[in-house]
Amino acid sequence: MTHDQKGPGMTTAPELDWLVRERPVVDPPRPDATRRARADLLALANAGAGGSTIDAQRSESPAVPTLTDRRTTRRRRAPLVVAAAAVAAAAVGVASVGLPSTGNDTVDSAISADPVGAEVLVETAESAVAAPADAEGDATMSVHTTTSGAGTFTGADLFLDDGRYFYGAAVEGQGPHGALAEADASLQPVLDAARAVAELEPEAARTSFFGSVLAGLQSRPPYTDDGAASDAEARAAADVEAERVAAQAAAGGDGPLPTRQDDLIWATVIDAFAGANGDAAVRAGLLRVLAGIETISVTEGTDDTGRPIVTIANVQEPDGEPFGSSIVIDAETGVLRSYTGGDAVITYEVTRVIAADVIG
Amino acid sequence: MRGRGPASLTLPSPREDGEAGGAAAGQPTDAQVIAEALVEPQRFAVLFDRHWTRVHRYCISRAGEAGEDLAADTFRVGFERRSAFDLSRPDARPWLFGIATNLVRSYLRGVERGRRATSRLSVGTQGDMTDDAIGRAEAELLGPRLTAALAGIGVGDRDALILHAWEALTYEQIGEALGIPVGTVRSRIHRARARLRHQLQDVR
Repeated sequence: MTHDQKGPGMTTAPELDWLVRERPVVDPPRPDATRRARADLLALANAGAGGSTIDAQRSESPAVPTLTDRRTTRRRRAPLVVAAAAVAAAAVGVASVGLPSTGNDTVDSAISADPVGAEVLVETAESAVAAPADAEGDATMSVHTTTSGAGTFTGADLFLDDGRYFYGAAVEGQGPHGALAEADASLQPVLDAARAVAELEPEAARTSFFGSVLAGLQSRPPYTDDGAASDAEARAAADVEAERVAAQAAAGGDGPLPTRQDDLIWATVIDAFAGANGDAAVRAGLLRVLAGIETISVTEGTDDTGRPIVTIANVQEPDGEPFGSSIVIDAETGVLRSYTGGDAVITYEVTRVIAADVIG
Repeated sequence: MRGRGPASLTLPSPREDGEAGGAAAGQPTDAQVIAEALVEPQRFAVLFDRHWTRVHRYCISRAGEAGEDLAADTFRVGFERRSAFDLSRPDARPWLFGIATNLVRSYLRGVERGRRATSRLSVGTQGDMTDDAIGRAEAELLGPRLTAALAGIGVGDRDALILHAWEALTYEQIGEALGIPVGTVRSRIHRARARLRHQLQDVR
């Protein structure tokens, strides 16, 4: 393969002209390759027609397995060890979910970073659901490593395509700390709510998401679980909050302040993202919800491998004290790659796996 | 239903001028051919004859020698999914290029995945999982100049840019091929061109 210097199809844009000139020169298809490809297609067509007729050219070509045949290779089983799951996944040839590992990534040292609008999140949401699903595997494994002042911990979430969810924990270098076990579905209402807004405009997505899963929480003290508030109480609290924000705005504050609603949404979305790495529609919904939060900042950049990433940052004031946190997502798939908050950094390595290889 | 059955199948030979897209004057459109292929599957070979050369060139441009199999796979996948084709679209090229693009991506992911798996097994560690799987595999196929120029352009942006520059697809056709809105195509190509201009300052 050489490079074409003739420049066919020249355009008025120099960078496009350059790209056209640099296109690898490809020889015309070899006649035997064309015959073989055509014969294979006809054989498939004949089979589809229910007939046994095979074009005469078919006999000249060796049997070529179908695409499906090539992909249906058996895989060995992996032990129920979370720490070994990622290694086993690679060893048996699982598919990546379209992004590199983040276990050792330096996503925070992006080589380029440009502040952009929240519409980038909508773009990512669109591309996440439009991205072709990886054919291999029937589950998504998300191995996460948390580094903080308390040490380093590794755990894993396994999202089966059939909706089941497993989790486990392990300590690096100390063998299994816990095998994967089927978990309860406490996040399920949140994930369902996100999925339901996967195609809504950001503001509508935010409103719907909040109403679905958070309205009942707003009247509670933060971070407690001492009983659910009634819908009426929640609405009243929301109204009070809205009045507070309006008063702040009227007083000439420097832009919109974080609200309790958005604090709750942000925290919930961050939690949900970790549980959404296996479902593009959920990721799309969460991104649209985030795009509806005015206080977030969005930065577009690339990681040190050149892959586009989006950093979403926010400052919460849950107790009147500002607390900044951010997540980094893959710009194309919306898959969560890392979270930073306080002194904690969590990185995520996401792969497609065969569930039976992991959970037996 | 056409009167011709599988046993009497006599399809035209592949055209030498397979660069032309869609149907020649007086010939059925691609959509008509696909509609016919729903009841007479062998008619799909007409689509092969029309578009094989371009799809073959596209796949090899992006995936090297493996592109030959990927081009063949494109038509096999297209045949298997022909019932999903939007018959209101006369030209099947965007659809075929969309399939081809997905296959190229999957292939490049597989190349890198295999390399990583081998690396992990050989050294007994988790290996280097930080690389852009598609970008690194593609880099070995496109050569240093193109690799340098395309570095930093995301996979989705790169697909849109290449379909635009190399296959002369319109924004609407690229949107059809990649399954994304036209507005997203515009923003992707805009972003990709901006990065390409930036990169070319170093490449030249």
